Amino acid sequence: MKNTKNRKVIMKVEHLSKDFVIHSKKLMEPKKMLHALSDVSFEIYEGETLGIIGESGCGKSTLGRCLVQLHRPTSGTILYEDRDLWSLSGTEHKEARKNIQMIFQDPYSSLDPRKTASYSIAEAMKVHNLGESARERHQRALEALQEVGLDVQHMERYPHEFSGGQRQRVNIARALSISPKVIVCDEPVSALDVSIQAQVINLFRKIQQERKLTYVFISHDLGIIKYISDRIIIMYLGRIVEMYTAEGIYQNPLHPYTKALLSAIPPESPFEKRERVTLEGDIPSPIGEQKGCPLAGRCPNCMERCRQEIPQLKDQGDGHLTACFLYE
Amino acid sequence: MNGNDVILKVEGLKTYFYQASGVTKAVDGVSFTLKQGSTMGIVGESGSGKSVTSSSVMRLMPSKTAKIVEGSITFDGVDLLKLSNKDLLKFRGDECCMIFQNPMTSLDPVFKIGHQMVEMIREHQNISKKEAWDRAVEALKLVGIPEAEKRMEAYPHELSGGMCQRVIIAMAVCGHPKLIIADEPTTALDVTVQAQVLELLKELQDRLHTAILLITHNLGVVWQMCDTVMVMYAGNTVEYADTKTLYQEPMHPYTWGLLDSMPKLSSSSKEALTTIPGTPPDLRLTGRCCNFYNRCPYVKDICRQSVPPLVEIKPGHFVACHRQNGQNRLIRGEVNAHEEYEE
Repeated sequence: MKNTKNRKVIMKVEHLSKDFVIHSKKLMEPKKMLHALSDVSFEIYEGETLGIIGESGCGKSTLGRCLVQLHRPTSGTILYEDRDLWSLSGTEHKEARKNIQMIFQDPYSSLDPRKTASYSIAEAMKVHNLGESARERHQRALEALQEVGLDVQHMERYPHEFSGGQRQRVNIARALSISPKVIVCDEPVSALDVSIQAQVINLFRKIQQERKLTYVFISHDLGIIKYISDRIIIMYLGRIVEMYTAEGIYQNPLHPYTKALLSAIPPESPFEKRERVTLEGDIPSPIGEQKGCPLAGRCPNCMERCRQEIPQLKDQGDGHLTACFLYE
Repeated sequence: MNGNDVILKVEGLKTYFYQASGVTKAVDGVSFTLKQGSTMGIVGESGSGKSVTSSSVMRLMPSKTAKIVEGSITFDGVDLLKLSNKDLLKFRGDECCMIFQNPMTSLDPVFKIGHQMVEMIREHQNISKKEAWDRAVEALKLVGIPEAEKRMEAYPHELSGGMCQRVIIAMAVCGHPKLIIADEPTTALDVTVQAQVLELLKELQDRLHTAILLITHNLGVVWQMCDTVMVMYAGNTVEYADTKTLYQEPMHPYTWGLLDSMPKLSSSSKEALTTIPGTPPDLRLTGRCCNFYNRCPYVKDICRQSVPPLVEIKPGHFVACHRQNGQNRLIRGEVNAHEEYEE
């Protein structure tokens, strides 16, 4: 990978695991553990867009929520500018939270239906003690709205008066209003139509260039992820299976899961015939203890070793990381 | 088969919703024909009337507010708009089946899969419970569900989304329908599962020779599955052609915008995506001019004055655009170069 060595690491995730306890339904039944994330480590460089792809239930949203401290990790650390987020306290903690913001998938449920757009945006600033007076916050809310392509006429509207694309713009404006450094976008465009999707994606890119933001972009749409990301992480059942540059992963996928995922994308033209790598069955349940490679039950290249050991992420040269015994 | 192989013919369909706030013209002039054993795709944004079109064919509209104002729907020589409720019940399920977007909500959560399938089969076929049970197991095997006998005893929540969608498809093919309407069948599913379900639909179509009406907003799915495709915008058919023609020579400016706004996997360009500016119109106010005029870069005065008719430009290729009606031709990408001084 080019010039990653001299780029500044803004966030670093080390051996992050997140388990959820599933309460027993029957009396005396032992509790079960759902392993949403197991041993996830990666770095986020300043100013880049890191794409995270995976199917539903692979832990990508849990990862996003851990990054913005909505979940407390079971083990492992998340470093923001070389400091552990969960060991910070008081003003430092608040400062760190201000710098890492999130945009959620559903633009309908992430705005309070009883608050106007300007109130929702100004509230975020008030929480973080930005702006001298209510008037100044109002003015800054307007500036944020104008930055995302809305206008003064949209200031005093309620969420139901906006279309889906506009509502997502208000969400973006709210995140921008407190000048964060990192924005975690959890499927920000999947609830939108194709033509509106393209508008919002262009907006994301424009803001990034203007403000030198860092994005963590979570999605299951492989076309959009490729378009917007610099590097891509592919997740399966709570683990990273492959990590490389966006270009590289699409040209030369190594992990069998990545190959299957990429070959499942619908074709780009009616003339295109794609060779399909099929995976049998569905994603196994993340509940209970895991043994062996998470893909072992579905993988066409499964070996005896895959059922016994969990493969670790290994560098296959040029920073192309993959977790598969085929490449050892 | 009345001498031809057209299974479904829809002509000038207009479905309006009557509400206190006005008349919503959800479908305002849609025409297409579907041949036996072929697949047609309907693409469009949300609110463009794709789902209302399919519900109109199934006559599943809420009778108090929705009304089919104009047009005709002919299925296998029978006028569907004249059927009685009793005949309609027979039509739905026997001749025509529908697969909905969310597999989890189309099954009843409190009954076992087997119970629901047997109930459905016995509603349409006069057979014993035992026979219906066997037929259901057979159908589940047909759609590739492992341990079909065991799954008959499962509740919907015990199955994954992809499995539930397979159960729905199994229910649909039980009665050997001539037409399957699939309303966004894979939108709620993951990519790998989506590919499995689409392959299954295709395989079943080859085996049972049914026609499929596939409603989707994903053009990739259209390229993979469909023989012909209809593009809808704000309740109108804007373009209708066979899939390869539509891909190679799209004619309507909206289709161009739609094709351009998808990020391409093969290109590595990081240029800004081409977008269609603005948002779709309010469907209560449409019907006097071209619905796309406020977002179209090629707009001219005539577009604001009258509704463009659907014209057959080449055999089988229909376009509704004033500026693409055979005499006039637009060139994609050349925006208003010579018109500006005209105005």
